[in-house]
Amino acid sequence: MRFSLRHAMIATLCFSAVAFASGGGENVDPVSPDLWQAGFTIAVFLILLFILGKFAFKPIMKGLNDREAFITNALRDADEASKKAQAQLAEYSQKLDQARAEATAIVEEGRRDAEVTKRSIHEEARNEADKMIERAKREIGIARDSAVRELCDLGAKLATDAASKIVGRELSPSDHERLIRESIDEISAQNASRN
Amino acid sequence: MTHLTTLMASADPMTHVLPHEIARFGPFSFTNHMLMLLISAGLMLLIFPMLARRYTALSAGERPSAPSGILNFFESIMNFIRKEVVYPSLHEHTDRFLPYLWTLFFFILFNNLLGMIPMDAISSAVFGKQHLFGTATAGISVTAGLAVISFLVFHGAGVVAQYHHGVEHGKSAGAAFVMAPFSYLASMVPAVPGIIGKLLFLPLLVLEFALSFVKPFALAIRLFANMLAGHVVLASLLALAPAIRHMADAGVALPAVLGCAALSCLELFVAFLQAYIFVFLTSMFIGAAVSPDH
Repeated sequence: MRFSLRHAMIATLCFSAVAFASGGGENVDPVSPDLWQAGFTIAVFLILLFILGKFAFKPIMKGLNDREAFITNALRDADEASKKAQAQLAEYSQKLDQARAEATAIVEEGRRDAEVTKRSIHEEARNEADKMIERAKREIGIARDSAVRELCDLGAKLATDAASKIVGRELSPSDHERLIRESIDEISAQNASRN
Repeated sequence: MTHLTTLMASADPMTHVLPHEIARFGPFSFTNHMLMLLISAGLMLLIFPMLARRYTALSAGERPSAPSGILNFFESIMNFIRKEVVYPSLHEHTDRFLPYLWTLFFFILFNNLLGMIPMDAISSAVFGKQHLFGTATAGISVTAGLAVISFLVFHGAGVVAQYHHGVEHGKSAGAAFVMAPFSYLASMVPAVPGIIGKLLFLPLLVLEFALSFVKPFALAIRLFANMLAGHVVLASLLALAPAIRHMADAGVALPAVLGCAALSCLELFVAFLQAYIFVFLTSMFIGAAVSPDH
């Protein structure tokens, strides 16, 4: 006869049912509680609770609470430190931006000042140059006028001298030529001695 | 083969789960379930004070150290119970009830797990004496005892909470003490506005009063039935292996043993699950009693 798994399961169920019906061999009802056993359970449990509550769970709870408080505090401190660092970073960034803006403003101002200074120096130099040119022109004018005046004076004198000489004797063409040459030489000599 | 049969499964699967007398003191019998309770309590008394000493050492400095090894294992369970199971129900009352709920959880868990170790089969094989050990939580008396404690704790907590509530609202200590049980009974009834609330108050009170007894009864039956059923099914399956040897079909024994292995894994899970459910429901009942408004 072939024994299949289904047969085995049926056999098990029958076996269990018969065993259960037989009351476990000692006719003990598994669902009727025994007061003495229940009382013993209560007593053992309460004694255990008293001892463990006093000597084991109290220190364990204290240890757990201490560690929890330590971790909570550490987390809070870390959070605060992080927030503080963020705030400081923001503050430093702001300060850095301000410093950068100030530096830019200072450089701009310096550049502007330099530009103004350069322009004023230019202006002054140009004014000075104009003044010098004016002065030189004036001096040149004065020198020219005085030279012209001297030349006129000299011409008049030479003419006077020449007239006196003409009055003294009759002039031939060669005299004219000699007189002119002498006058020119004299003027040249005078100019040379003046210089 | 007799020893093998005894070792793997008795001829009666119920014998594994029923209490058996191992000694008698006058009218009182000392059963294997009681012995298992004492062994569990002893183990807890050995383990937890040792953990507490290590905790004290860890917390001694300014900077508490993290636990390691076995301490870490138990702490993760204890922290889970505290944060995920108890705190959502009890909030600010958590630390007040935590020692009780931790003790309850580990007491049930240790008893469930000890029941899974085949100590009885080993003692039968070695000493030739049967039924020295067993699964205490598969006995209705044990689970009923634990449920009675839960019943007393959550109703007691509710009455004490009503006493404090009365004192806070200007009642004298004596009046608050006398009125606390009645206030607690009244607080059980959910608030229904209007005339319907007044009409429904009495029937709801009766219902809630009955429910307050049903709750611990359900706690006891749930734990007992789960542990009993798991062991009976395992024992029945294991009984197949030797019982069919003369049927010359080893192809049945192998699936039976493999099925037992799988069911043992399931029962290991159930051992944790039932301890969790017992504590979870108890903390919910305490929470409802202490803060009926929630």
